[in-house]
Order: sequence, then C-alpha cells, then structure tokens
Amino acid sequence: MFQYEKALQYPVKITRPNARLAKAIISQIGGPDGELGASMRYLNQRYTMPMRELQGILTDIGTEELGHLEMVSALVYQLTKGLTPEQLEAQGFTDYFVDHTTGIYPIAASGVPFSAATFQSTGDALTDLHEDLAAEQKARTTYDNLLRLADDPDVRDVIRFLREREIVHYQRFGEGLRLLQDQLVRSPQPENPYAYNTSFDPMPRRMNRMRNNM
Amino acid sequence: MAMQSRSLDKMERAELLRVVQMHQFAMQDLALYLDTHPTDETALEHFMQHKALCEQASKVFAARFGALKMEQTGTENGWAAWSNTPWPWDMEAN
Repeated sequence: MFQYEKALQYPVKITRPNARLAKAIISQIGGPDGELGASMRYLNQRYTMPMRELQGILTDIGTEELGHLEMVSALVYQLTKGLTPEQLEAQGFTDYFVDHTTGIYPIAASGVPFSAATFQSTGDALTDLHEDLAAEQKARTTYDNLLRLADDPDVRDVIRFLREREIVHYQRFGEGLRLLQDQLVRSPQPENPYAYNTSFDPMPRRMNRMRNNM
Repeated sequence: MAMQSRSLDKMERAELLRVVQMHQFAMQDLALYLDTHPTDETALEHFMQHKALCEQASKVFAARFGALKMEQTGTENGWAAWSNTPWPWDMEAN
C-alpha cells in the first residue's frame, strides 16, 4: 500500500506567476519523459523483476517519482495561480485554459495528453532495465531544456533538484543492471545473455540469487 | 539530543519543516543506495542516524503545526490537524 506524507520532497515556493513557463514545465507531468510516465513505468515493471534487489530499487525509485510528479504539479499550480484571463491569454495559456482553466491535467508541452504508450513493461528484466536507464537520461535532457528556458531562480532551484535526481536514479539502475548481469554470467550459456528471459524462464539452480518462477 | 529538542521547539514552521525534509531526503537517497548495496554497514548507519533525527523532528512538527502523516493525527487537535493545515502544493505550506 501507499501512505501519503503531507510534505513535498523538496520545497516549491514560487513568487512570480508565469503561465508561459508553466506550459513548458507541464511536460514533466504528462509528457513523453515526464514523472507520471516514470512512476508508472517503474511501479508496473517491478512485479516481474527476478531479484529482490531489483524489485526494491524499482519500488523505491517509482515511489520517489510520484513525489516528483507532485513537485512538478505544485510548480505548475503556483506558476498559474492568481492570474487573470487576460494575463493568461497574454502568456500563451489560452488553449490550455479553455479545457482545464488552471486545473492540473497531464499533458505534454505540445498539448498531447498523457499516454501509457510513452513507456514499456516488457516482462524481461534485461530489457526493462535498459529502458529505465534511457528514461532517466531522457528526463535529464528535458530538465536541461527547461533550465535553458527558465530564468526565475525559484523555478530553476526546483528544476535543478529534479535534474540531479535523474542522474542518481541512472546510477542506481546501472548498479541494478550489473547485479542482473552478474547472475547472467552464471547461466549455462554465459556467452549468450539472451538465452534466458530472467523474468519468465525457469532459472538454473546455479543462478542462486534469482527468484525461481517455477 | 535534549538540546536539539529544545531548538526544534523554537523553530519557525518553515525552518522545522526543512529539518524534517532534509533528514527524509537523506533517508530516501541512502535507501536507493542500500537497495543495490545492502551489505554496506556505513550507509546503513547513516540511514539509521537520519531516521532517528527525522522521527524526532517530524514528531515535534506534528505536535506544533499539524500531522505530516495520518498516523500522527491525535484526538487532542481533532481531524483538522490533518485536513485543515496547508497542503504541500500551497506556497504557504513550504
């Protein structure tokens, strides 16, 4: 189960509303490399992970991504709060406003609504971990692009924190991949890492750290 | 520890919340590391230190400014200690 903690992971306190910037940042809610997709990717992939350590890292990073989703949502909420319809229009927010007013809705910066097609859960640990490594780098690039667009120091501070977390997660997934590879070299076919889908096929006993699905 | 308890009692809301968040963040970051390095005793020791400080600060915060977790809601302040204090996305909550 999940229990709510009534505090953001890192404070968000924006004093200068900026709907134009909010419209760019919203991509990290519902965009192709955003926090909603990140949390859903990891929390869905964890069930079929073949090692306890991998189930743990996906659960804990997936949970942190839910916290990041809340932080980015707080950013968009505060950046659009208290603006008049005229100000929202002048700041390029009309097309969002007409459907959602200033409510938080998961879309990309382009306006495309969130789609589960932006992430995978392949039921193959080796493939999923590679996707996870790529996902962290893609999110890091998005935050880098947001840093190129944002000049408000309060916003930049939050984006920098989130960007740094992508790099830490990339590191942890890399270690997770290494743990899996250390088991794959113990397989009866160490020269072929694709001989077994470690999330699906029964594992030989010598791969002693793997959960057996039989 | 006693001295720190006194200073937690005197902190403004935002400052005390920072103490909770700081230790909580240290715990989260160490937890990810421990997931892939479960036998690193130094990391586990750091985790336990931050856990103790986090629990202490969180308890003082809940008593003075309202619950951070539902389980911290007591009968003395009623349900409002959970539902009628600022929610995290509000600027004044930070």
